[in-house]
Amino acid sequence: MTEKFAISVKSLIKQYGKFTAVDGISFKVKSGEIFSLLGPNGAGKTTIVEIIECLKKPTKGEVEVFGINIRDLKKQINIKRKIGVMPQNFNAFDWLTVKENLEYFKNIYSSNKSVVKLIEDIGLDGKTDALYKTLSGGMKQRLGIAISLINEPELLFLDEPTAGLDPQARRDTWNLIRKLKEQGKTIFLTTHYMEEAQELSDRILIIINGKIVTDGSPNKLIEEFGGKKLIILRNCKESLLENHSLEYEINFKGEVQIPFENNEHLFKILNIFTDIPDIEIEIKKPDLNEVFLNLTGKRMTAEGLVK
Amino acid sequence: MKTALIIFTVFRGHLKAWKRNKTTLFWTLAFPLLLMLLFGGIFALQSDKMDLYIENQNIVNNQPTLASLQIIELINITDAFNIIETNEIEDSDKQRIRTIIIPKNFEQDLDSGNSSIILIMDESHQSFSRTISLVKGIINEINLEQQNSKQPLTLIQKHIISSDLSRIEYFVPGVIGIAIMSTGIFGTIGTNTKYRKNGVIKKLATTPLSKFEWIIGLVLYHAVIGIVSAIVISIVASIVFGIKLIWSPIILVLLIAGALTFPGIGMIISTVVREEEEADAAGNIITFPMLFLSGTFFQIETMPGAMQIIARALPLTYLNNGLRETMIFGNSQAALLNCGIVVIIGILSIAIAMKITKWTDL
Repeated sequence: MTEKFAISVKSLIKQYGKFTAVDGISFKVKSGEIFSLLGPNGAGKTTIVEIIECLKKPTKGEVEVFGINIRDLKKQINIKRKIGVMPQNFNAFDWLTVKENLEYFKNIYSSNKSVVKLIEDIGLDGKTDALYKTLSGGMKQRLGIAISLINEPELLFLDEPTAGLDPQARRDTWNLIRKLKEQGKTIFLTTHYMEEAQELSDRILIIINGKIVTDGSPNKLIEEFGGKKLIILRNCKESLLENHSLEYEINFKGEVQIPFENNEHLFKILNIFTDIPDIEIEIKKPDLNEVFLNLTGKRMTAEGLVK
Repeated sequence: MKTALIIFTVFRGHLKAWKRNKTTLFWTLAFPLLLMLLFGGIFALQSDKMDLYIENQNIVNNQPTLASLQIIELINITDAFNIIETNEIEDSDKQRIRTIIIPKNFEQDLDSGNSSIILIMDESHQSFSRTISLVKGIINEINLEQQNSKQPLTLIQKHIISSDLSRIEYFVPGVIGIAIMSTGIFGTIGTNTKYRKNGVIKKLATTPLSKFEWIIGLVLYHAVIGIVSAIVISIVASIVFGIKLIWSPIILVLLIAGALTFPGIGMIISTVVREEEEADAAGNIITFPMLFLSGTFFQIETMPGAMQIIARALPLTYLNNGLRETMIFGNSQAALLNCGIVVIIGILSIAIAMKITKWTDL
């Protein structure tokens, strides 16, 4: 059985004058998965999505969405009808209400989707007749997602959907995205938040300077590039560790860090401390932050900058 | 059908935003009304001197003769007229309510005791009797000075049908023109730069909405607010200044042509000049000459030659002329000519705007 691909990108290059923003990228997105493009600001993420969304023209390479070549200008409209897009820094019409904004886009697509139902789904019931400009950042983002769902798209592009949101609003948005996946939609996510990519994605493509660094499921990436898992011990005297031939480090907080390979190894180590009541034990798996650090030698900040 | 619904959606979106935004309401309605009331008030307070055109043909060696200058001076000291000296015979110019012609051989004939001056005026005009008695008074004075003959100077009257045009009547169509120009140009620059900056245009470009539908929706919206603002200005003008305006379908065509022309220019500016403030400045550079040279405040015919050339290159001139010809003079033929020019400029500018507006690589 051949797998169905929603997007197929082959040797994509985009140049602005002499600057190469996207430098020979190839990947495929399967139908029904949450696919994340992860990378620092300026890595070329938005350029890639906007080429797939038919907003920018590629310099070289082939891009197909649902098997339709994006260079085929006459068929672009068929792509546009099947996709839903929430651009980076999304905004709707300031002087129209939540309901009017949704109806505006509903008419553009000649869609039959119920606007009232959509407003309920995204939890903006109380704000139906509020002007867009009076909404909070989180509400605007949610309305943005609702608008991108108005044509019941099979494929949804979310470009930095939680940028600038508070933690609660971010969680709400993540839950909404998970629900959409359950409904069978393919979701193409662009983000510079490690946690977001890790929480949501089936597959992640990490790019820097327009080039692919690596790709795979979050677990696979962590497994491969995350480094070792650690047991962290607090209130543990160093003397307790002697005579056990353990490999350990003491970090700047005074905590003992002991790397382990697998569960057997983990239990063997924990066994040593069963009789010591005061010790606090934490088991820490590496996350995408470590993957990124190990792959690039750099850390990515919350603002999407590398240092 | 689908396209019609989409265009209507775009149109209604703009219209709703316009109704809810006090700033746009101010510029389309309050500003032109204030302008009209202010200048209407100034015109009303100005002296009630009557415009008098004098064509002095009595020139010898490139100098007006002493006798001709003397008679002009006598007219001047009555303090009843605004003297406008012209040297070309434009007999078809109906904007001249009253004209006096001093003939070629005036001085010579006066010496020989057989001279005349010509007054061209509409006899049915309300100011006719006052004008004629003043002019006759001056002639009597001259005749008294000329003692060697009984009546060396006579008055020849010529009747024309003139349209009486007070300054406020001249001004009102120009106010409508200004309202349409400024909302068209600045409204479009504002919408375009704002929606491009905040990402609305990018979002729209990801949908099946075409730039054709978007632009036509915008033009329709400008046509409707142009009509609304013309109606409001006309009603206020007739209530406050008692001006009678003549309604004709040509006005509608002119307003629609204006809704093509000025939003078209606004779109071209905001596509070429992408930064918000720079686009605004560019808009000012375009609108400023039109504000003053397109015959809203000053009659184009009274401007220096070079200015007249510029005025004739400005689309607002033809919109103003067209509106004035229909609304004030009821002259459909002259209005249609101007209307045709505005329609052509309108179609051209919207075609250019459509061509250069970008829906990709924003």
